[in-house]
Amino acid sequence: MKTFKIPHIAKMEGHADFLALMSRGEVTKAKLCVREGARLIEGIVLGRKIWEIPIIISRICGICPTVHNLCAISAIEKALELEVSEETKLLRRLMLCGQMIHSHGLHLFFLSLPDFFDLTSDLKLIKKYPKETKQAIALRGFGTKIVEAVGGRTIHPMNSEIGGFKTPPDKRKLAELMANYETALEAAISLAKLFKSLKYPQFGRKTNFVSLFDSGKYPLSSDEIFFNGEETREKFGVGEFYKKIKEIQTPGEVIKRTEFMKQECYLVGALARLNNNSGLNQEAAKLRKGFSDSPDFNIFHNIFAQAIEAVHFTEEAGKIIKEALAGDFDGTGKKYKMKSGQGLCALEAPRGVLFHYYEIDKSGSVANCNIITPTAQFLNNLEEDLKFCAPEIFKKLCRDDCQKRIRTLIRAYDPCVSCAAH
Amino acid sequence: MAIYSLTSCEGCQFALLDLGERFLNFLKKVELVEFRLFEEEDERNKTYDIVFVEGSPITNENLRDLKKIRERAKILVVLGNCAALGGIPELKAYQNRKRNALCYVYKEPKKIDNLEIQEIDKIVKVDFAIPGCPINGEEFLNLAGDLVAGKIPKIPSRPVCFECQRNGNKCLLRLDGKRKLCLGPIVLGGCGAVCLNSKMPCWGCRGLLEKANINNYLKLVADKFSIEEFERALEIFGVRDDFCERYRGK
Repeated sequence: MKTFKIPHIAKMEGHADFLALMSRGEVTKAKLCVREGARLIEGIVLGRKIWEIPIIISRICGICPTVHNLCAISAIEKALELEVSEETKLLRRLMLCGQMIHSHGLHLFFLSLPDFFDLTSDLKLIKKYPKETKQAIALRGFGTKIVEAVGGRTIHPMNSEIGGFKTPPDKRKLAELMANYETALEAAISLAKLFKSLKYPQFGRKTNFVSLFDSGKYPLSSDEIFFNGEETREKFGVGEFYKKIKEIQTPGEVIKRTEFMKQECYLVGALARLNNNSGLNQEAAKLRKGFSDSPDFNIFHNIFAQAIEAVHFTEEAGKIIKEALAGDFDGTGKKYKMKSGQGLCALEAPRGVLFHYYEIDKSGSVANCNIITPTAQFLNNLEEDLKFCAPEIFKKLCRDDCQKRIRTLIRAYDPCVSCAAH
Repeated sequence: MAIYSLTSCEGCQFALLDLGERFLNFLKKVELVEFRLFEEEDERNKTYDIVFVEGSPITNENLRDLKKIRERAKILVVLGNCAALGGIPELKAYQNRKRNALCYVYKEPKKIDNLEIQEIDKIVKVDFAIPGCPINGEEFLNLAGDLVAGKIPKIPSRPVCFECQRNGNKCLLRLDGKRKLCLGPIVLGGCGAVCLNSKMPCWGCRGLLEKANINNYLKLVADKFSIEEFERALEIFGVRDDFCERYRGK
């Protein structure tokens, strides 16, 4: 039995190694061994008050704190049977757009792109591609400033709360964003063209694509989930889907993998969303045309899918900022009465569908909590992909190139290991 | 220079990347030899002039790595609330003894490391701490300038109130009828009172101010807030044990 190990995979959020076991030329195991510690977030929120939860929960992740914060807030609002205003929903959509833009911008340029130019360090990348670096930074800046303008701060926003927002958005900051919109959109389009031109490895293992669904739209929030697979091709209510998810923990593992209706693995994230939804904005739709067949089973194209989404969500943000500038927000959230209840919310995080579930008691304390992250859901799919292409990789490529190809595939998923471990 | 992460949300690292060009310009002044978010060159057993460490040591491997890093670093700087004060993961320590967070989360808890959360300076010598959750990128650039020149800077010992009032915010401790428990008067400033700018009361992510007058503060809030509420607020960012260490009995 031979082992092939890549320790401490870099340019990925969180800590993990890759390990493959081979016997008589067959790959018997391909695993992502997670080295992250267990912060026990679901356990340590028990007994805390609901107004503390959004602040604690955003600390699950430093690159996607916004979506965790908003998902927890919405789930708790459901438990309280609290409806929020249309303005609040608009502003939250804007925050999620900002979240997508800056997270994708980071992953696309700083984490995945070097793999396509055979560069082992971002320092080399920024030296060799200064124009593209400027564009990536401009795009990211647009996204981070959106979250800051509406949420109070990019990393661990605190302006969003149960019922709405503590203060209305700073209109001067919104106006500044609008002034930078054209530059940001140009940057997003230019980067998408770059990613459209890259040579992606061939890959075609069939899998199931899971995302939120809202007919004709490209939703960030919804009550419907689309399981788009070979054997099962069905839409479910979010609650129905969540109940059918089985979380499986292997002894010693800090990430609970998921299984849906005995179908072992499924993909969530940009490629899944692109396969499942229509409703792309104009520029994004133009760029996507002619790139690949639909449905697209090449996991490396998840990278291009993120580039398309970066354009789409920039266009989306532009629309919402215009609307927000024209509107008048009084900035006070809805008041609520404490009551016991349970609530579930599903949102599209950059890496895929995120679920937050809370049970609260009548004193406003959390009695139960469960969080299912996108990375925890796609890990099985990732390992199946590695197992699928490992034999050919080992046969055709030299050791160094094997390492590179495997890293490229893992990074194409954009795993967020700290999230998945929480 | 190296930037190292133990167990964390990595938010403090992203705070640096969010600085965009200004962080990239800062990197031109140093030789960045290890930063796994940014590069994957072969790991070398060098010594570092300066290492920034983010996160909590939650696994045995984290502990081993931390001790190794300390041996190889001339200057060790902890980045952020988790590293400096224990952070959000320390909420585990404040829970009712009846609760077992590990067994709640995992059906198979046996092989999972569940170490007591410790501040890094209880394990190895720390030369400097950059506080906050997350760190403030601007503050990092200011302090790092000194640090990479081999000097240990000093964060001005002023409470959050200093910046909050300068921003023209209404004091949350003085709103008639709507007072909020804000720890600002006893917490180290330097964050620009960013939470207060969004009317969120300070929960102390930067840690207690060195010569904070806790007794006066408690008298100020005692009419509306109990000592228990005060201590609960201190738990969120791992400040409570610091408070108990410094002021127990007073």
